[in-house]
Amino acid sequence: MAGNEESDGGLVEGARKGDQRAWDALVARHGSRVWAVARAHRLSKADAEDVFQVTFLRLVTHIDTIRDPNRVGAWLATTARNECLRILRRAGRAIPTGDETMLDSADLLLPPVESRLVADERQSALREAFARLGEACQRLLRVLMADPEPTYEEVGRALGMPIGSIGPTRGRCLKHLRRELGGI
Amino acid sequence: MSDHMKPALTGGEDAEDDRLLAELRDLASTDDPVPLDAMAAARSAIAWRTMDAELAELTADTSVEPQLAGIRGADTPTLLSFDGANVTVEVEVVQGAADRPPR
Repeated sequence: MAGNEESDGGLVEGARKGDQRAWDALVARHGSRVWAVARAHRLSKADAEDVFQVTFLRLVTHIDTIRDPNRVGAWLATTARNECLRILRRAGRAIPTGDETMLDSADLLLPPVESRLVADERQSALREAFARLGEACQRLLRVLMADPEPTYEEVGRALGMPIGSIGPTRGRCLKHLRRELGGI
Repeated sequence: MSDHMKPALTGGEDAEDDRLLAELRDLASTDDPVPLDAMAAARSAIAWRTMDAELAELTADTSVEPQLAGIRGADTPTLLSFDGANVTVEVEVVQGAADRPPR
């Protein structure tokens, strides 16, 4: 894919000059990670789409002043998190139970409708085990499940975690997950 | 790559962790991918930037000749059309505009 070889810094430079392909490559490269931040915060898909749009729109607006273009991923993670917190604060002021937003976000992993007829036992087991994990583990793992995987700096910015705690927490959460899977 | 960038591998359990995470990553791409329309909308966001730049060029470039889009008479407005690479700006020139109510 065009742009896969080029550094983030190079793509940011291209986008600054209005190069559509450089911008497309940035969106393609970082989109999954931005989406993962929103979903990790348990936002509905509708709210996650809003976070997604606002985050990339902010990048367009501020792209000239980003201090370290090679760490634009960290910039995006911070921006996405701030947008998520804004939405959560707004929702916090009026918390109706059974709110559509809450229901939609209950399952972070839900098989696509067309595949529910064909049971992949391993995937079903993974979904169920994941759903039984605590909030913090689901949040961290969901961010780590982005493709490509985020750097620890990006994870730290996305979730407000100190970088040093990420490795140990990752290990602990995956251990919990294996326990929930019961060695299957 | 510096230390804060990637997880450090220290042994067998880490390989197992990586494999489990890779399975979860596949699951997320199946169950919860970025919606295609969200990707498309984000890609189009750069257009705002290039449009601003083009409009700035247009107003600064005095060599751009206005095309007279149509002259209908002394009391009717004159339409001027300025052509940029991807953008066209049309200006309506109205006589005695100061007497008219603002739009």
